[in-house]
Amino acid sequence: MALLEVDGLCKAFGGLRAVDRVSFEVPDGAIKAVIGPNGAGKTTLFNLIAGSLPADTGSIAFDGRSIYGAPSHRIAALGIARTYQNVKIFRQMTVLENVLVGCHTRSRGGITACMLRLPFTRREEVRVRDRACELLDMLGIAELADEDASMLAFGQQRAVELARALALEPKLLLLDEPAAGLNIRETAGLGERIRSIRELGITVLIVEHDMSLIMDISEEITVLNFGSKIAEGPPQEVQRDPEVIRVYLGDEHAES
Amino acid sequence: MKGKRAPFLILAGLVIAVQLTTTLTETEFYLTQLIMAALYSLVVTGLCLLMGYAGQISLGHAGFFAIGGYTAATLTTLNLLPYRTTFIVRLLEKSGLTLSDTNSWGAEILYLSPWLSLVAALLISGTVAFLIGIPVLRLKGHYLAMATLGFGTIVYRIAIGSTIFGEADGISDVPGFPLLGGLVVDGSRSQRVFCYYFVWILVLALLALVSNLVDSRSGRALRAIHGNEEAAQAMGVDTSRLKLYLFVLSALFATVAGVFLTHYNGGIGPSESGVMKSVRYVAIVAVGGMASLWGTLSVGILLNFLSLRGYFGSLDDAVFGGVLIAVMLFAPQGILHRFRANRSAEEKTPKKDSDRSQPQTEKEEAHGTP
Repeated sequence: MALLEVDGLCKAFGGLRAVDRVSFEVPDGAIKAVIGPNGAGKTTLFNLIAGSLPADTGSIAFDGRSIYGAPSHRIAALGIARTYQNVKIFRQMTVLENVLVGCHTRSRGGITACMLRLPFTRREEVRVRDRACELLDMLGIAELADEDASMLAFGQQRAVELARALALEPKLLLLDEPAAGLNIRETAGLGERIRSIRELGITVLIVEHDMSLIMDISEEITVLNFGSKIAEGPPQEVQRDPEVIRVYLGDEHAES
Repeated sequence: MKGKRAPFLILAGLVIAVQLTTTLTETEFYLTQLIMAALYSLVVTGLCLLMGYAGQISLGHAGFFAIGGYTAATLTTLNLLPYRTTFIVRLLEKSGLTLSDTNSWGAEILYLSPWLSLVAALLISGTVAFLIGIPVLRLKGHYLAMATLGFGTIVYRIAIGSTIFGEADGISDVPGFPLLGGLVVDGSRSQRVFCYYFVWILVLALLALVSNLVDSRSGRALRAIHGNEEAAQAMGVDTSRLKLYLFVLSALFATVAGVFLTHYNGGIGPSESGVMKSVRYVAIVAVGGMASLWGTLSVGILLNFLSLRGYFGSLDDAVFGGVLIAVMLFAPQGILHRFRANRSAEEKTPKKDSDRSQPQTEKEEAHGTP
């Protein structure tokens, strides 16, 4: 059974059909990519899955239960974590604190308990701090732990965002253009990093422009254009698909 | 943890030192304004949490202060003697929830225990904050400011327009708040030193709770709302619930302050719920550095003390308005932050060098050993 099943999903902004009857599945344990030209509706699709935007119609099932219409904090608690194309870091918080917020659903101290520093909140604090430090180590940003996260370089902020998403211990990780703004060396490292995340048992759904990265790591690709799915399949197949070539390179290339 | 306790110990030391100095130099009258300033600083502590940490502005906190003060004043100045035969009053009297006294004309009066009115004030204010908070906290930035400003104005209008709240005169002859033994929170000289310690213990206790919160799971979650609300939701933070809880909590801080200040002053007037009071609280949090409990506390005590001593004269409100404008223009992150930033900039240049040299020396040593 697929971990994520999206069926007939629609979202319109006024007259613009940003996502138009899109259906696809993400098998458990896969690295799946969604590609398409600018404005194809990829990020909107992510926002619909993560619950940041309400969909118009369709259905979304995660891990066998419907998450259609659920608020994003509940979807996060069920095990879907995400990163953002433009990096949404928590300002005025350190790198470590950013990652600790990621542990929110894996701990439970409420306002009153935290104010009184009840014993369980202290134990919990030690546990999540250890966990956050492990993640910072894993992503090679341990030495930045106490830096103000909003002051870091863009690439470092991406790493913080990834650590924060992993702290949620998700089953499904949504990566929105993780290579955007990274240099060639950082992008090369990213492919390895995404594979190692999958090794942890986390399914990855990725939206990306960088074709070499996508062709390298993904097992299956869904191609969107103007909100609709135009192709789907393994990278080699999608690469040869005339419709995909037409969309990306223009009509004359598709015919030749 | 040790570093976190130090400011509390310093503050406690200062509080004791000030009391001893004023008693020895026979200038205990200063304590009166310090008591009032401490109670006002409770309001700004709650607001600091809401505004500085969670990024949700409220221009209606004087309203919650007034709800506390007016509830306490109304309930404890109501003479129950004519209703003594009714079941409710008899029940209250039997449960020890009423007090009797003689008024200024020597007649006997029976009134509700201030403890009960404190509970009532917290319930009413908490409920109002909850009900107002649900629609209002959906708004952001300027819109939230306008909506809370509207709430503050409504409270002010009700206070100044209702006979039971004494209209423009407010309510006077509010009895003291009996804490335990013969210790009473009121304006009498014999209770002054006690009141001083009581309000400062209250400030320290609530400050300890808030400072615990700031560095905890829930505290980080509310700071994350400030940092980026959408991302906070995506990390599983139920932001609307948390904001509402926090709004109620900070309203309760203001309510507690309103209740005790009303008992201390022996009355309350509509100016306490005025818009300028709310602006004053916001100004103090802003000058204190928004997300800085200690900055907010120090600025709050200093400005309120000077204001209550009458140093600003008739320019009182203008000073707070001016301070707010000046801070927004020249030091949007607060004056303490600016001071700290300058200092750390001076320190940072040599510090970075030493940071870099450290691993180098380690490497050199490592090379040296074999």
